Amino acid sequence: MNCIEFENVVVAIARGELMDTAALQSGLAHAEACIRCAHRLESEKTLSEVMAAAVAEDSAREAPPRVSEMLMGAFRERRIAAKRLRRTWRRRVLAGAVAAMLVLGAVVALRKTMDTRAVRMGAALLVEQDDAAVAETGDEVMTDFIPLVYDPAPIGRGSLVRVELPRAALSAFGLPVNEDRNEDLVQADLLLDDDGLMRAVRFVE
Amino acid sequence: MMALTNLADDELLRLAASGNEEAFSVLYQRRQGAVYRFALQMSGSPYIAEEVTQEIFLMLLNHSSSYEASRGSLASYLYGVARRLVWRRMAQNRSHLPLAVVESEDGRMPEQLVALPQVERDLARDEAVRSLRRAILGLPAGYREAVVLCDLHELSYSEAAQVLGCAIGTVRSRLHRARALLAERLAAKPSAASRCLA
Repeated sequence: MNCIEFENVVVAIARGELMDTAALQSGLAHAEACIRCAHRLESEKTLSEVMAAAVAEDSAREAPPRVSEMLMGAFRERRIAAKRLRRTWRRRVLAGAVAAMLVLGAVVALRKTMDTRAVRMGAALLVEQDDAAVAETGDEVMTDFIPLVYDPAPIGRGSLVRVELPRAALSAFGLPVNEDRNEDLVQADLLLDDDGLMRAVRFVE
Repeated sequence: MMALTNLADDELLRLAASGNEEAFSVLYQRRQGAVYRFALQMSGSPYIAEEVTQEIFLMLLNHSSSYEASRGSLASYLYGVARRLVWRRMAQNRSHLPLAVVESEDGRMPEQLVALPQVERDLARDEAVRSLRRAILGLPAGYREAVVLCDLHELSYSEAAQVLGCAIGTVRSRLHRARALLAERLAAKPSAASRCLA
């Protein structure tokens, strides 16, 4: 081993971490033969000894107790704050749920009221239309309105259209028909909603 | 408490984050010494060491999720954070920057002493340690970190490399150069350093 190679292992030798026995023996042999490297090894060993003394001296060093007290205080405050936050959230969620229920109740009540009004309006419309039709013709006989679509919501606004249909159409609604007069036309009132959709039909005689 | 002392750092941290005060206390007691010593050895200032220790554990308390166990041990993580905080503190407060290596007045040992009694040997050792501390504080930052982590905290090269975020070879080379500088500086004042080994 030469001086350059020795320099590469001197720290490891001084720190006692050179596991390669051959390299260790070679390094120590070189230090015995070379005064400069012997001094280098000695100074590294001295440094390691002083380092060890410093480590021993420092081993008892700790942060002052006030740091621990401050941190534990902060921990407790944090826990209390977290609890308070949870409680506040619980209250907010509860208040939100109550508010939602109240709104829902109000909506349901409002809808019921509107439905009732709509039924009344629909009925009134039909009555008005019936009255108008009767007033116009005076002697007409009509069936009740027969629904053409399934829609429980009554129609509030719409129009009544008078049309003529083959008498055979009566049979489609279960009404009695004289087969001899199948080709004749019969008058019918179609009840259309705002979209032009047929909602109901009644036959007029 | 007894059961908690057997738990690993990660588990203690998890419990502390969920509000377990004892777990936090155990974790603090386990790790504060190393953090405090590291900050003290790096800065030479008990004030900075105290501040850094406090800040690190407060951070751990409030942002425990910032530590990811998959990226290394909690000890390494704490050293890494301590390292950054120490440099930041020292940059903020230039008055705490370590002084250049200077010889203290009370460090002079009588040269004529040949056989040293125990008390004087202790004094010599204490002086050698003081000289070493001053010399460490006078090292360039990278060398100082390598010496403090590998020699004073006895971390392996790979652990130190993880803390410093560099290659193992870099740590080894920095330590080698740092020790050469320290040995040189201690050799310049041989009385105390050599007598402490007597």
